Amino acid sequence: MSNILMGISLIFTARNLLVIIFGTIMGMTFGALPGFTASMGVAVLIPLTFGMSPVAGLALLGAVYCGAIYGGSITAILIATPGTPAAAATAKDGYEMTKKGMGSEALKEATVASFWGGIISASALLLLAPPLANFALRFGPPEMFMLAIFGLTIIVTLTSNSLLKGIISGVIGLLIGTVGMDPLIGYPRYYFNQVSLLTGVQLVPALIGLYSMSQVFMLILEGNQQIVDVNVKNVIVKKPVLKDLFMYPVVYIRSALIGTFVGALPAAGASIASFIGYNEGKRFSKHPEEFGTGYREAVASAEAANNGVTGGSLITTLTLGIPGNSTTAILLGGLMIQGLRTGHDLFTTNAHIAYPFIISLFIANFVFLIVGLYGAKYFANIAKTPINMLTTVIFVLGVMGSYAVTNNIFDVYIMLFFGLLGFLLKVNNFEASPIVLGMILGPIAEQGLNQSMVLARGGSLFGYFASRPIVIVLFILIVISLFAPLLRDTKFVKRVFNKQGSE
Amino acid sequence: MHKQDMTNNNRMFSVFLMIVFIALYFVALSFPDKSAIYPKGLLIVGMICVTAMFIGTFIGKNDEEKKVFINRDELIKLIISIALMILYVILLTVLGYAVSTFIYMLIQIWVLKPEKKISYLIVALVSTTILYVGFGIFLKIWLPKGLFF
Repeated sequence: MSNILMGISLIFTARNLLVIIFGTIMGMTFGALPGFTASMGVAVLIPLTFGMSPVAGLALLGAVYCGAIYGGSITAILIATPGTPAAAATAKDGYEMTKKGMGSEALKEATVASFWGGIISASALLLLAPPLANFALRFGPPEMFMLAIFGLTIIVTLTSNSLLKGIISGVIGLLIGTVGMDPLIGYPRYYFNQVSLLTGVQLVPALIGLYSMSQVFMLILEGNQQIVDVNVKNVIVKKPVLKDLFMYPVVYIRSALIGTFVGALPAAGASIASFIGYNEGKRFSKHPEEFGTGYREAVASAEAANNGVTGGSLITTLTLGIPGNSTTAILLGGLMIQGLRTGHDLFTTNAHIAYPFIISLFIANFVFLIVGLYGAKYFANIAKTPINMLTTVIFVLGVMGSYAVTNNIFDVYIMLFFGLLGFLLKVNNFEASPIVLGMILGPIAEQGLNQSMVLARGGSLFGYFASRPIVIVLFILIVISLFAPLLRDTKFVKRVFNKQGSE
Repeated sequence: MHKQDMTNNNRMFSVFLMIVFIALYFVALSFPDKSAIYPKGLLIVGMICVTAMFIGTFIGKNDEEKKVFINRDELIKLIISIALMILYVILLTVLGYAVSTFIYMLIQIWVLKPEKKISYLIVALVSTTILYVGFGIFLKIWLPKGLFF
């Protein structure tokens, strides 16, 4: 409790609040741009944090994350074009409501449901992360190895439409993770006589390349002069009333908990959560037949779930260093830049940073609630921005962000390389998430395995692993996740994935 | 027709990946055993998967995937843009951040939509100023230095 009070006292400074307001609005802007994701927003804005204190820097990234996940719903509702993949479920009923002249109600519901989703999820993070970080102290090298493998198997099975392509992407990520000195004897691998590569590939330039630059190349290739034609003059925003805030309390809680749980699973992001939230909302609704026809409760079900992911995905990121999705992988990069380590230390030695950061997520949710209720429709106009200007500015920002990490021009070339790699993979229907998580989890897995071999002292590695209960639990989870593709044939999961695929 | 295109894409890309994986495997042969086990293992898994993907293109096991349509004119624009980007990165340390960013933005915006518009000049100038002053001076972020600023 004292840590929470300390967090509140540290975050409530004029500068931090301004940073959070700015971050949330920037996040909403990125979220409202079709084709741009929360990951891209966080990646592009990382350089802004370099000159800030760790608290302000992380608060900015957290605010961008919350704002972007919510912002995706605005264009989904008003022009049937989800700003982010996470808002695809919202588009279904949200746009139908707009067509019926209820666009204002849909926007209000999306804002309120996102707010509750974010608040409940941030509360879960605040309550669950510290004890989990404490529990993580029991994790030795064998547990970290198994945890990394568990993360990788889930990534492969959940992120890709094609299992084979998912595995190949994961292998590419793991191989990138081998660049630099190996953790056992310090032999330099795949550094191609570049001194800058001896310490491995810098995470932030690689992420900016994979997420932002690859999308810049795609937008240039698609050749549209603006993202979409927008006309929102006919949407009349009605003044929100108190009742709007508490329209579907049960839906908000259920979907937010779904989002939090899904978010905590590595690689299962906001888009999966919103479809599960939508389907469960329909299942428990008194009027399931109204879903899909422009029903306010449907918008609430999807939106509370996708914003519920924000806090959930940070639980494993902050406690175990295993990112819940690609956006938190980039946030993890931001954390490393500030010289912070995830786990127990973050909640004890660096509690003065971790707690204000978590509290900042609550504030970000309040910011988008106010901005969204009064000005959401104007964000849809962002989609009018000419592509030639947008792509150019984003590239320049990416260059600056990559350079500023270590003040090394080599990192800018790394960003370009990863941009081209990401573009090539996108054109061939590969996904970037397994690569990113492979890059992060690969070194953890290799180090865990090497240290386990040393700790086993020449004895049987299998016997050493089998003597540790957490390892056995993780092994069972790995087996379950490997069989997850088979689970997709079950009625429930099939429904979820089919809905996702049909969007 | 589209599915056929995607099959060809998958076939070509699997060959490309196989060449990269084999090349990396040969590089790994020069590593000491303890350093080589992990990357070699990964590469073998990668090669097996790529082979399966390649074989899959002949037996119709490809997943239904969306095809990215490539227009010749836009492809040329993309190639020119990438060349400009590389040139910009090279010039950063020669001319300095602000000057090279202004020149790059002006040319890049024009290449993507060749019209004589004063707004292009304004966007390039305002963006460069905001980035240089905001990041370089206000936030004290290190920016590449060159002959100018």
